[in-house]
Amino acid sequence: MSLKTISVILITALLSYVALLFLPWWSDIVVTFIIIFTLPLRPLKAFIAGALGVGICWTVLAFIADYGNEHILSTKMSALFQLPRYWLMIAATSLIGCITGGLGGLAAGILRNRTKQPD
Amino acid sequence: MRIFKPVLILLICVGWVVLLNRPMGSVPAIGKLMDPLKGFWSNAVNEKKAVHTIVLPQKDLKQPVKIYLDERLVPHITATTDEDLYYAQGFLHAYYRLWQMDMQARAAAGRISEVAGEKAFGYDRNQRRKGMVWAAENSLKAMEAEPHTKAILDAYTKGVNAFISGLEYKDYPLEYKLMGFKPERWNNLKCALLLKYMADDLTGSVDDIAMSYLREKYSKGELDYLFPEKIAGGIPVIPAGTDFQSPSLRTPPVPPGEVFARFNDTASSEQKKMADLIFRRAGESGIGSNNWALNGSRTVNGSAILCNDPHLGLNLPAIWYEIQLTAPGINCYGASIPGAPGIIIGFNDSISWGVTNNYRDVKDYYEIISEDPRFYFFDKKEVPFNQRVEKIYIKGKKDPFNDTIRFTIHGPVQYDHNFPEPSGSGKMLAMTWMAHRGTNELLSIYFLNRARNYDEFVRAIQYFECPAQNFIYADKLNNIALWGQGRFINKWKDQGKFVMRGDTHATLWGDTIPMSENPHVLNPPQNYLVSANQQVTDNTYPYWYNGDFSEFRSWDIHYFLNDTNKADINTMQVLQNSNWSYAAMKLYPLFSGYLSTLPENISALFRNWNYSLDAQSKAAGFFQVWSYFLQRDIWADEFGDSALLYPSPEVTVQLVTTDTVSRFLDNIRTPGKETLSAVITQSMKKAADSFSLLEKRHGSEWYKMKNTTVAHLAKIKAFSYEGLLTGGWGNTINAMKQNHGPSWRMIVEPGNKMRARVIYPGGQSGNPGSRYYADFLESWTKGKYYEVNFLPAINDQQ
Repeated sequence: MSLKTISVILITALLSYVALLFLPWWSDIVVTFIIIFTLPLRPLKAFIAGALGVGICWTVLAFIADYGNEHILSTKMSALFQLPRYWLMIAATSLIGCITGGLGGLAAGILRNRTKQPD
Repeated sequence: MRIFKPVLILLICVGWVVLLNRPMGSVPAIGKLMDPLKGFWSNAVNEKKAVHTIVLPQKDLKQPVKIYLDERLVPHITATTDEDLYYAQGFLHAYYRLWQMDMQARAAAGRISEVAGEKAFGYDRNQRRKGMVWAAENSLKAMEAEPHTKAILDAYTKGVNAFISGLEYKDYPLEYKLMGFKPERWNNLKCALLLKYMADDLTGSVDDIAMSYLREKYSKGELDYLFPEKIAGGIPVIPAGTDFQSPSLRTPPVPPGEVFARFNDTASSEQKKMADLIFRRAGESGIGSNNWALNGSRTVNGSAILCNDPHLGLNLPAIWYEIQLTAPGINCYGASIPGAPGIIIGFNDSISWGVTNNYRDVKDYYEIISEDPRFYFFDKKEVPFNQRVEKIYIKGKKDPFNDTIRFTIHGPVQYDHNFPEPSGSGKMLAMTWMAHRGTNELLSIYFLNRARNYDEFVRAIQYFECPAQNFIYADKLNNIALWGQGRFINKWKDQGKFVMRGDTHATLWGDTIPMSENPHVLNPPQNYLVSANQQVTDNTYPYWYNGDFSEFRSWDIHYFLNDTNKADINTMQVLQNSNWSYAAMKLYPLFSGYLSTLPENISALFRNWNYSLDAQSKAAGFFQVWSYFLQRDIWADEFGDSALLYPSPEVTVQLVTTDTVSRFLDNIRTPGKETLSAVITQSMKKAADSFSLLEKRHGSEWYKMKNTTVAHLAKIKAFSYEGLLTGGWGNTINAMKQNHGPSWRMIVEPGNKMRARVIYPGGQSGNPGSRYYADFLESWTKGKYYEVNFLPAINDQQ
């Protein structure tokens, strides 16, 4: 993985967190799109970078909340969603974050691909 | 096709956002819910932080307010003005229980469909037709006309709204996020609605319609035998021998002519099935309570002891919120209701009090005769209905359902052709109900929380009109007292026992009985007092009343207290958790005669059985199954398989133990003539079959059969607790049923220092993401208590 890709992932993780502070959850799809449109990657890489960036952000936030909470709520919520383990709620959160970021990245990658050949 | 891929990916992006941003059926908007900062994760309280503090918005306060949250999260509020005190209480209630308050106020007002959709429509409509909103408006007028209650309501509401106005989506209680709605502003009407919700819970179910059918089927003598107004051998709330002052009102004579509506059994079988269901549900309500007090001559320390455990629906968040309120003139501790200011059950520096439901009948039905939908007949004239349109909004629908409720001189028409009476009589029925009146129970609470002695206690409870309660009292001066307190009508004999004719003034409710003539006793010679929903007085009480009384727990408690001379907090704790059954003791001699007819594995269970319905006891399990079949086998032939209103278990026990040749023992469905022995043999056999089946499937320990469950208010299983290891039943002191039970156990010893132990099934926080959500539950299940941390009054705090 190139340094650029890693930078994009980290920037995405950071800015998607900032966006979540003020904007709805889906703002992360827009954030990823803008970042990767500005710092273009090929579509596959764009997807992976977006997914990892937002995914890391969501996973870390969910993990912190769950750790402080001693799994009380994640245990109940996983029962509500009929999942057998509390950590599956973190996994589910990660997954949604990943898809959200991945889609934003992929869209940017594809659109950018049409206008200018990225690295 | 150069643009195909970009367009497709953009569409997928938009689709993803739209899909996850809206609820689907009962599934909430997943994207919003999973948002790691604002979704459900923000309800995951950080339990690593050791200190819990609440900061009130300073701009609203007159003076600084101190809130100390103890290790169980019980707030001890110290304020210098009443206004600040109730503001803080409102803020705290909202802080920990906002969704619950909101939902219960909605449930009272018939506004659940707004947030839960069509499935709650029938419930909402019934609430409106019972006149719940009208009733709350009436009480609100009374409360706002009185300066004390107006002030505390305003302060409380301001506190609730101060909390709500600071909320963003991320701060909403979890259930709002799951159900997809948001908190709305609080108002004084919602407090009134909550108080009416309690009144409905405690006085709302009556047997008038079932009794009207039975009246057609049985003679007066039979009815009195099967459904006696007072059970033989009952030990009344106000001990026999207590002098009642001579009545200031004459008991009105029974009006001449037919005063009751006729309920001929003409309903179709489909309708009858409905009726059976309705009555069965009513019979299962299971709400009851215990309270008792002993004076110093019966206690180890020589000071009085007061105990109370109201039995209500077991839910999470719990119905109660524990709190201490301290300000000049008040230092009070106890159980408050989220949604209302003040403390309902508790103690202060000088006195302690508790309540049980009084169960005198304060709700009566009237048959309305109407040809033109605008008018009804009254005293041979056509009188216009008053109308009130109730708008019921339903989630997902734009326009509300408009229900026009017609009001008569008796009260609102609950049932008509638009909303048929469930037994299928097709009748139009209106109701007169004490809960409809504009009463101010909050004023009672206000004075009660501040009362320093018996006289102030009596003055305080005079404002408690509905739901009528048996108020027990004990103070530091070793006084004990008990009042059957509420607003009652001076009725003629049998008035309101059956559905009455609504077309004549002769059946209207008459004068109210002066409060000072309500049954009461102070310091009786027996040195202890007990109420457990039993009959209120003996026959020397000068006014006529009826009600839905039950005797077993009263017999249980008297059985123990009668011999108690060395009570202390510990022995009272054991007594509150007693699973011993007076009913079992009474039935056992009869039962044991047939043990040999049972398989060895079952009869062996009864060696040394102590009549206790203990959690792990299989004997208790079998005995309960047998009592169920015994009851059914005796009454199902006369009353129907799905139990149209069976005679009470008290009557059944007395029948089989004293009237062994009663004609009701015969199964009228068979040509032969059954005797007591046949009934018992048969019920034993059925019980043995069921028991064996249960043993194979779930286990036959009593707690497994009973499955005591503390359910989340929205019936979310993941937030509920099932299969608790509890003994007891509705007829034992530990009145632990499937979904009803001791909702607040309290023992107070008002000695030199006020000492108390309490517990309730739940926790102080309503948030399922908090460790304080259900942290009392385990101790409560085990019969343990918490020692109360009662802080001294302000003057002593310097």
